[in-house]
Amino acid sequence: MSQDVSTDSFEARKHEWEQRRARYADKLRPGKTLSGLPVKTVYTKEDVTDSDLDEMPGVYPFTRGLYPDGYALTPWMQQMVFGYGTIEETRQKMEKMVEEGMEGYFGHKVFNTVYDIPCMYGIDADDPEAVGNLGQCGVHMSTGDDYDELIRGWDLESTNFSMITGDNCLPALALLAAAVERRGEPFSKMHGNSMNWYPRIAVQDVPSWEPKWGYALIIDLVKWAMENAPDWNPVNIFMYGISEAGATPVQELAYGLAWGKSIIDAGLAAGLAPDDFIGRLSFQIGCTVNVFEEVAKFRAHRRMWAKICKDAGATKPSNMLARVHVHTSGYVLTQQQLLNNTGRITLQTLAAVLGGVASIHTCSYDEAVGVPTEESHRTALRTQQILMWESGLREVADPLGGSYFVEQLTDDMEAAAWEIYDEIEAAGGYQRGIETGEIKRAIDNSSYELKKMVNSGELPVVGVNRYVTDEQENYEPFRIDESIEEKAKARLQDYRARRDETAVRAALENVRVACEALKEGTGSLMPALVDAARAGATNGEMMVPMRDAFGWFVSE
Amino acid sequence: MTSSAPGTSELVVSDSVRHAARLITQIENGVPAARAVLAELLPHCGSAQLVGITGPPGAGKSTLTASLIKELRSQGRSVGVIAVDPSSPFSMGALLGDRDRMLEAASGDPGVFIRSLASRGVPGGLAAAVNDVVDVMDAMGKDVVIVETVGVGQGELEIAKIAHTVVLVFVPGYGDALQAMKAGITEIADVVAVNKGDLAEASRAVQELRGQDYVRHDPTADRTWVVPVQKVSALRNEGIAELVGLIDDHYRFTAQSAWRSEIERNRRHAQFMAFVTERLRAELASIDLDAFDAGWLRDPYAAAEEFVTEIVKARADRGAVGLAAK
Amino acid sequence: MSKEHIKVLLAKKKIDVHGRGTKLLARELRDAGMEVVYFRFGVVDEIADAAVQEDVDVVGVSVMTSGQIQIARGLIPALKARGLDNVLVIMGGIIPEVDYEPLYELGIHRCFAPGLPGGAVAEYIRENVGTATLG
Repeated sequence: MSQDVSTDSFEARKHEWEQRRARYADKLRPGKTLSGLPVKTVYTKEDVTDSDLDEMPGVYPFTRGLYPDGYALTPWMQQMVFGYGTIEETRQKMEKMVEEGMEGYFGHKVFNTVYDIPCMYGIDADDPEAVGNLGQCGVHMSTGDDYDELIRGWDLESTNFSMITGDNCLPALALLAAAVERRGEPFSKMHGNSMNWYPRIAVQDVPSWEPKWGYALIIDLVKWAMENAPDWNPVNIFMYGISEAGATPVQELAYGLAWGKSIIDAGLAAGLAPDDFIGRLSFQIGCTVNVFEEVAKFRAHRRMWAKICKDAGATKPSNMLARVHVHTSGYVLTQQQLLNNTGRITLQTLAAVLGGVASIHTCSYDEAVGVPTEESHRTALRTQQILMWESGLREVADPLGGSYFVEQLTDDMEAAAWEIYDEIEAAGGYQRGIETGEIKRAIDNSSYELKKMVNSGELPVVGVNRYVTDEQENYEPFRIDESIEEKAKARLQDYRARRDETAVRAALENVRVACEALKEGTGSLMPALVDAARAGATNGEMMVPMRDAFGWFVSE
Repeated sequence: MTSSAPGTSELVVSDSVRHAARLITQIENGVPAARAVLAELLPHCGSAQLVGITGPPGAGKSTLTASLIKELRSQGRSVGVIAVDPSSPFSMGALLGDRDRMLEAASGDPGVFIRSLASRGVPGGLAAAVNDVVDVMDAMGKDVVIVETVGVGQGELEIAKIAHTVVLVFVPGYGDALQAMKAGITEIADVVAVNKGDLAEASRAVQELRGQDYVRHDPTADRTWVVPVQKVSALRNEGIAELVGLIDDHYRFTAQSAWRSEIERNRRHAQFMAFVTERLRAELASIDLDAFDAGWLRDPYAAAEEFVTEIVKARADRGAVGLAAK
Repeated sequence: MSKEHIKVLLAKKKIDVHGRGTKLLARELRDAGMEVVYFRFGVVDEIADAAVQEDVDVVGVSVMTSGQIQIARGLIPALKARGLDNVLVIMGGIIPEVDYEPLYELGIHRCFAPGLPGGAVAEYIRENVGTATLG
């Protein structure tokens, strides 16, 4: 054994390391990531490649981050998702969040507002299927009045509005545009993001447009935004839905990127120029408590997306940036021993920040029980703010860059994800995957394997399969009064009573005609929807001719 | 045999979903009381048109069935659906997901009765049960009864034979699917539906299949039915009305000879065989072999042959046709 | 009470994207030997119609985006009106514990927290199937 290690070569040290562990090394259980990739107990310089070490933040392929100095110039956007009740309740909440210091880049206001399920699905408050769902897990906004109240007093240019819509994506933007116009301002002042999430039906058991028409609708919105609201981000790729449905982080990468590629393909097929629209695509991604795997995922994601955009013909580096909003995984939260979730959320946020993402929503610890209380929601925001201001995390860009382990894991995840991605592309792409159901089947299988590991205890979950207690917690979550249903119905009736019915019927008939024109490839739909919104049509009413035209499909 | 609760058959005939559904459960579980009710239902059977839908996994059978339901309902015809899914050979449990895909076609419509059945892995048993369930839906007054099964294995072929018209569904472009299907077409298909007709491969597959000139020979007359190949998109509701038209054409075709009554005769034959088999098995289980023939242990084959011969002879002696007279 | 073939209707809201838990439970119950009809519903009458046609022993409803009280309030009478008075009715998902008692008063037999091993649900079903009444 050597006496003075400091003068020894790497080889000699490695030899000594091997000797020290020889007695027990066989007995160590081989580790693996959530995605099933092997993990060693120790990583060395042998695990990194020159190309890993040659990268710089803010430079293609952006593995180390989108910006040259990371968060030093401006921190990530705090984009807390919220929305409940009618627009009045949600307005109060918006003002409260601003008061609490929630802000975006350079102090801009950011409202990441979720619609309730009836709005997303496209039914108004008086539909029987809306019962029990109105204003519950999102805001119910379906009339011009609602949108006027939404933007009341906003400075449109410094307010970023992300609309978490569902199938009502186009009607919702049309209603917003009409409200902006009523204020006497041009569409071009609109800043924000449409959650144009149609392709999520590849993984979620909800009905939506027939695949072909779903893509046609995405591109219709992209084109309208390009011509009318150039600062509006018309498409968001909802990788969060993929991981929450049960995909492993590697599957989330592969399917999410294939989803993005399918939209690029649809845009190119519609004759758009790569540099005109690819840079407007953005992502929402999930984040579990597996810190290093998540960091590696975000790094691999940026690198892979940059390559996909470049291959698709984007030439400007700014059009190759994977702009990522992280929504911390809600699935990992447990109803058992509720406060434990604050620990999980902190780790998730840590992973997102170390991964260098652009924007973060932190779940509240009580989301495993219901809608967050004001206090739990604030604590979730404060968790971000503690990481932002107390932890020193934002001083250095990509602080894990060059870590033997993280660089290797980034490479491994990238390779594993390309393998799945290439398979999908060879089989006809993501859209085909919606039609055949194969993506859903693969994710369902992963989800089940994971659950079996939790059931058997192989995958520890504190409070669920370890350190279990059976005391009742009787936590009282936030309640949205059932009277919201009557209130929403009354608002709807009042709105309908004040409009010109004949004009609304005519405008909706034009929507029907425009739907057919879109299908024929001879016209676009968005202008007709904006006209219908001007005339006073509601969210649910605009969805009727759309559903008739574009079908209703569930991926098998 | 115990008799069932009075009135069950009347309730089924008067379209009581609750009683029909319970009777179907009894049939599935082989409850003897169900037989008596089924016997009472028979006079009310025979007017339903029976359609079998089969094909490989992933062919979109449930979605196609949903489209057929919509089309038939729009023509004012009531529909019963029997959707069979395989049981897990390990746990004997089953995931029955077909109903879910028919939701939009059937919700809240009293003219549609959908029942999911697990195959439960009993060879022959499933076909017998499905046959009886068809009678229940027939007696309820359903104009069309659709039996949907995964077309793999002998058991499913048996089920397909229950139908007046068997529709074989498949999707082009899945490797050897077409080749594998060709064997199925010659064996069972009366109508072929090429689903997901919006795919480019679909037109090619349709052309290739039409070029084969598949025919089915009328087992009762010297004439043939040319198996039509229809391109459909269950998703887009395209080709569905045409498919229903072809199914009806075939149904009428079978009525022009004894073919139709031959199919019905086969169903009753299968029911007879299933019941005899089940009854004999139960009787045999209670036989004390030692009391019957001391020699069975030395030569079970000879003892068995003698046993069966005796039964057949007993029937022949009193003038009945023996089992051996087939 | 135990039964050879237990049939379960597992229902989730048609318009709710949260389907992971229901699908997992469907598989877990299948692997516990049960026959599971997986089903999405728009209004509670659709659950009751499916339950009567399928003649199930158990109705399970997943609630992820609230509305559990309204669902229970509509579902139990709808089942009873169709003569299904001894079906076992369970709920699971994002339901606060404090709602369990009110739901039991409405006729729900048992609520389950999310993330539990499906075996726990299967065990409860096996022990209680056939003995439940809807009052």
